[in-house]
Amino acid sequence: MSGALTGDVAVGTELPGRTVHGVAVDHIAVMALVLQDSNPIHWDLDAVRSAGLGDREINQGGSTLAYIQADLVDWAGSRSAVRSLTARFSANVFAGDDVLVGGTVTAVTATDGGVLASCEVWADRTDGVRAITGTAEVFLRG
Amino acid sequence: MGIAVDELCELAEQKAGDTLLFGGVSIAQTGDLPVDTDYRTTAAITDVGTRTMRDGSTLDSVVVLVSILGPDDSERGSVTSTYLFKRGTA
Repeated sequence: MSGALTGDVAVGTELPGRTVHGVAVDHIAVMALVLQDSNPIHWDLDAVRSAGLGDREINQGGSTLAYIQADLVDWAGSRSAVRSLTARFSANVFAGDDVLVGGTVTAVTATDGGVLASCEVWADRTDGVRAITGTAEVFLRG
Repeated sequence: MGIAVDELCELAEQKAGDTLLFGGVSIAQTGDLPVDTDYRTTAAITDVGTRTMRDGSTLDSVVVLVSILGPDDSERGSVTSTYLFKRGTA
């Protein structure tokens, strides 16, 4: 298992971040099938247009959130290290968008066997619009 | 996220022209989740709301809490999701 070392983590430490290039319309459709998500804004352009949401399929919010979670897991080295994740969805991510995710450590608390790092996390479209603002708590083993 | 979209839409009496949006989510792992263990989930609606937007449209919200319980009925995790229904946009 790899991941951040507790000695390297302090308030202000930045998560590694990641970029998702060109959210694929096929992936959105597959996720709609897997999740049995019948919401047409993910696959029906007429529904997207008539809702006034634009002219491209809309990525599932949970998928965009998963980009953040993947960044946290890469950083911590373990899926079980992510103790909490809270997100507010403030804008849609569309098929074809590039998405940048990242975060910053805002507090470090000593706990049994390591530290708990509190983080601000976010997902931005490359046009500068913030799609997700959130917080996370990640356990880092000492 | 704890509830099927169709079930959610039925619950919120979604009509043609209403649009479902994901407003927010809070996921917490409060206990260990070892493999080869049976878990039970419970679900509840913890809040509903409505507000009028600046354009005069109505935005209804439904908050769903799903808890994951271990064999001893202790909570191991929870997911709180806020779903938004933008009414009558078509």
